[in-house]
Amino acid sequence: MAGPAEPRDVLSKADLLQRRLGADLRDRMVDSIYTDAGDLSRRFVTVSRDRRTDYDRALDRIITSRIFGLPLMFLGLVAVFWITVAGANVPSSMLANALFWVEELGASLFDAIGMPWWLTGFIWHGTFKGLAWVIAVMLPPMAIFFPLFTFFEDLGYLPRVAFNMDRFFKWAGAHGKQALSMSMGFGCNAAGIIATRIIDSPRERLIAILTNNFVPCNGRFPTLIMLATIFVGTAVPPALASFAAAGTVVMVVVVGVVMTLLVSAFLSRTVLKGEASSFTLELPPYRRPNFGRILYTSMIDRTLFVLKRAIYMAAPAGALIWLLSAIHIGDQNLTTILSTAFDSFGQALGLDGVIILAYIIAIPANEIVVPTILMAYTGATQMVDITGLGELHGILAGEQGWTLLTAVSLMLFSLLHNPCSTTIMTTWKETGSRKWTTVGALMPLAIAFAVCFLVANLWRLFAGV
Amino acid sequence: MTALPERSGAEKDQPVSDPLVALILATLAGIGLFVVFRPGTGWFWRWQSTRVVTERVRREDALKHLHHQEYQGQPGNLQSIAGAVGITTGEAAELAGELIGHGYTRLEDDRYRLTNSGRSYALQVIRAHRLWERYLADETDVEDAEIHLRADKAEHLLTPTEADELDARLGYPRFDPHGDPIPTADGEVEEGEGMLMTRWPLDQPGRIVHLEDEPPEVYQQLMVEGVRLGEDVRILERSPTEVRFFTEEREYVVASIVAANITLASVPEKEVLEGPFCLLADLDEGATGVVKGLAEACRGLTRRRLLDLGFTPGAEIVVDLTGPFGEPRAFRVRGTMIALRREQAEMVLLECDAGHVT
Repeated sequence: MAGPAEPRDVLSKADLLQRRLGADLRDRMVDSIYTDAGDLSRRFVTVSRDRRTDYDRALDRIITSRIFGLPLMFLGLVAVFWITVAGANVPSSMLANALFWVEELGASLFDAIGMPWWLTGFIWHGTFKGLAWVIAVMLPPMAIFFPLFTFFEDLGYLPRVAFNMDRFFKWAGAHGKQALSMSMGFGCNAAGIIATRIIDSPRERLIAILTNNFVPCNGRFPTLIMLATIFVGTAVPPALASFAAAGTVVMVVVVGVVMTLLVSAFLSRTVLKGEASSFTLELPPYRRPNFGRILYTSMIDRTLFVLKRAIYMAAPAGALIWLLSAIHIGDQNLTTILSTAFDSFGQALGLDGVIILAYIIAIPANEIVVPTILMAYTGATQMVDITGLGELHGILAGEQGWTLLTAVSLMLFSLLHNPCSTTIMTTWKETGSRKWTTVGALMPLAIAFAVCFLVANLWRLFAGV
Repeated sequence: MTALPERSGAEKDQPVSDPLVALILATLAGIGLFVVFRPGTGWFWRWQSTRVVTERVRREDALKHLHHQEYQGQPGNLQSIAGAVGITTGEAAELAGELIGHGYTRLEDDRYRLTNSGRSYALQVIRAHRLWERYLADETDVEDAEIHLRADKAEHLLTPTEADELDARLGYPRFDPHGDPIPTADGEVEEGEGMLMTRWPLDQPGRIVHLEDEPPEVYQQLMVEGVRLGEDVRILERSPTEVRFFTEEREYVVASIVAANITLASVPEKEVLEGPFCLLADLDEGATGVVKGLAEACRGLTRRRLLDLGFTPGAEIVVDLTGPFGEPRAFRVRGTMIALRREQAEMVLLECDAGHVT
């Protein structure tokens, strides 16, 4: 051997040897690793009992059974939403009362020290009011929903949901783990899209990313819950109100899941053709939920995180809405001009111009849609602040002429419409493709338009509204 | 048109367009979009597919064809180019002139021979084609019949750098899914080894290393029969017209002309998996089994996942749970619960004598 080998020679030698190793190198490596690990564990580890206990087995048998599997999932969903709806009502109005009291106090303080009216309006009736709305509408349902969701997650129930749902996803040409990223989407679609990393097949992962938007995220739940409470809840006897509201929210979620499956099936059969590939899913053992961890995860990581983002978005949106209603061209303010311009388009979808305007302003964050709508309706006249859901019903149904159709259309639109800007950014980061990001943003919007249009016109045709 | 029903103003005074008219218009628009964008046969896709056949594609297809002819010992002429690329002889003459202009080929006695630069260009295209086929076969579940068609498109889009990256990602595969050698980045082509099934000795285990994809009819028949590359076979009987052989899964009888499209090579000794096997998918709930190995048809992603999860020879498996719709099923292996669909469970081969405990 003359002298040390050149790196180039080593590389080409390695290349040559690699080609001679054959395709089963990995098989042999994994086999020997498992054999060695098995030997070691036999020699040094004593197992006192089977890790999978009879208790786990019995539980799994019920949870995944043919008869109880899906109904249990459904009941769990209803229970979570019922607790959220029933529990969020009172704290919401208390928070609203307190925050609007602060708003009045601040505004009168500004007046007292002689601030100009526009500064008072911009800061207190615009920016602060937007914040107050978001906190009052969002914080209570999130503080209830997220711990419940995290409880099921911590228990180990979510992988069983994926297990139960996989047959549907297989039909749709998608991956069963999409059920997991979908569940995560209930919290936040951007988080759901990041969660699709657990799907290792590229095509199925892309399907999961593009359809994640069809489950309502936490920013959209308050909208759904509020509409269900004041339009469906008031249509039934008070004793059943919260059940009817929770049932409505569950129905919307079911529509979302069905849409997810239909769109997945469409994508996997057309643009992303190719059958569902590898499926493996680990079912971890159940574990006793750790309540400290549940509270920490759901409050700090989720509730506060989502709320913080909502607040960042709500403050400028509140300011923008105030500006739109404060700036007049001729004898009309900008809100009126813009919402009139959008009105016939909105009506075709069963909505109205203000709702369309609110959705345009709310592209950065879906959380602020309802506050924006309310501020646009009431802001111009600086009406009294709305503290209870009863008063909300009065404004929307009484003064603005919302019908059950408006509520249903808004719920559907909220469920299906384009993802928020954070989700769009996440799609871009995760796919690295401008094309798929565009599809991910525009496809839901087109579907939302089509579905709302069909529902509104069929409703009018048959109900004769 | 009949008179449209009068619509009195709703609660609000905005005019609401008549729902029936709106629905009819929307239906018409929907039908229009369907005609234009219908998958496969829509006008838009047809327009796109005519647009895709660019100069570059023709050039590369012609070079590929010339390389193939040269490999067969029969350099191509104008007619064969026209046939392979799908153009008229006149257009082929124009194309050939262009190829000569670029220095890719030269004309000798009405035959077109590749120059060195033409050959390395052709090999680049072939490399991209075969690598892409390997990728589709291993990492996706695109149907076997479609793999070739897709690679025919991808070969023109993949740059040499991308091909190198793909090569590295796939672990430097030597052969494409039909068993044809994949040229290296330097343009070297490995000689195929092996012997045709029609000449392989009886009763000696052989591994299918190549399935000729021309003529397509015969290849289609092999695909339909379920003969796959990489399977280990033993020949039981051979007559002038027929060959009878079995693989780890079942027995086949094929015509000699079909068997002539199958190339066998000897199996490295340690790996001969002796049948018969039972499939994990056929085990009842509560039954146990011992893994013997993974089926050869299980490749790429699925194989890696199953191996990593511990489905290696000798592992004990208990069928633990069945999903609400009979699928997927969860198996206990090496202390964890792994759920598989039927397709994956069919890839896990078990010892048959394992006791069925219920």
